[in-house]
Amino acid sequence: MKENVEIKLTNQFCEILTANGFNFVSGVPCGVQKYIIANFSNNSKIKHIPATRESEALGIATGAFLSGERPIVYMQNSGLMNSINDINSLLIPYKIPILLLVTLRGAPGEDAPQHLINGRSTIRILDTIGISAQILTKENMKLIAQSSKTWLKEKQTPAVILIIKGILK
Amino acid sequence: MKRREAIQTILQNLNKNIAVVSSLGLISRELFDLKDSSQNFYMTGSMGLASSIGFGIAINKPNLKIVVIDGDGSLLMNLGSLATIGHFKLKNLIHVVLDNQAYGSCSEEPSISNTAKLDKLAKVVGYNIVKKVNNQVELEKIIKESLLARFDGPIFILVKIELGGCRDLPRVLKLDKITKRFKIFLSQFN
Repeated sequence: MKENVEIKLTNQFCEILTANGFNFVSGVPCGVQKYIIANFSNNSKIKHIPATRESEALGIATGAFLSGERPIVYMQNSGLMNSINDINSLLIPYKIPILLLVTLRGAPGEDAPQHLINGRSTIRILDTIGISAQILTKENMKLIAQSSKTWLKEKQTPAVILIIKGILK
Repeated sequence: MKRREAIQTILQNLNKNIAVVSSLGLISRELFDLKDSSQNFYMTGSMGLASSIGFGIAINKPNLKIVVIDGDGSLLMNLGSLATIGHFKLKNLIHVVLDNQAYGSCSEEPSISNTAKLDKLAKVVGYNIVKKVNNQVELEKIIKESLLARFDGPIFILVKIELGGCRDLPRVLKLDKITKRFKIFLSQFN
């Protein structure tokens, strides 16, 4: 039952993203985003190219943006930490606006100790490099997609939507 | 063959309908110094990602040929990209690796490309055509062939170059302007 709700809400969120013009996606899987990734894989409105690392995904999405597409990259915050240099030395100075869907592991309720430091530093690091980060909820799906789109358009730098485990249940 | 000679040989054989993505450090600076053009995307940061950016363009612009000018150290940093390119088998991607067996843009600390056999790796992961060249004549020949319609990619060209060369090269400074200009260039193609 809960799973059905999560799939329904996730599909709604993906629908909102494509309705806002996002049409290309790359990324590295995260269990928390499994229904989002499944949607992208079977969604004719978005071209999905999986990557082997988050940095690579950002490179592929950069190529997509340069080609006129509107890209998304999905990853876990562990992968965000892997790719901070690519955000700081490619996306921000070259003005490459990409929407990043980032799972926030290490949030309250986390049961895996290796995620805790990433969890408590993710938002502060994004804030330090001047990237907008908003936490997705059931209630703000539309608003968060629209405000991210506005950020990307006005700032021409990446925007982050943080996703916490179980938030769409 | 020196780095500059290799880049010059590639440039001399390009027409106006080809996009170039160059890897960081002296490769991009040399290209910028030899011939600045809206066809070029100089990737000056994001270590290792030139081939990923080229791939991201190639998959969205199937009618445009893309030449990536990579380095051995840079490719070793993002070997997953080699596997992705081999997997998707895009016909329009030409991946040139200038191999001086060193981190040439640093202080020429040795890389491990002498044992990594990058050309063999490219073949194994699925590149359609793989060539190793040692001089400008061979390089010119394979670049010319690669740009012909009948030559399907992904094409991997390992170019053995010497260490050394000019280091006092201009830097690409207006990075967001490069994006804007290159995006307009790409918008002409499907």
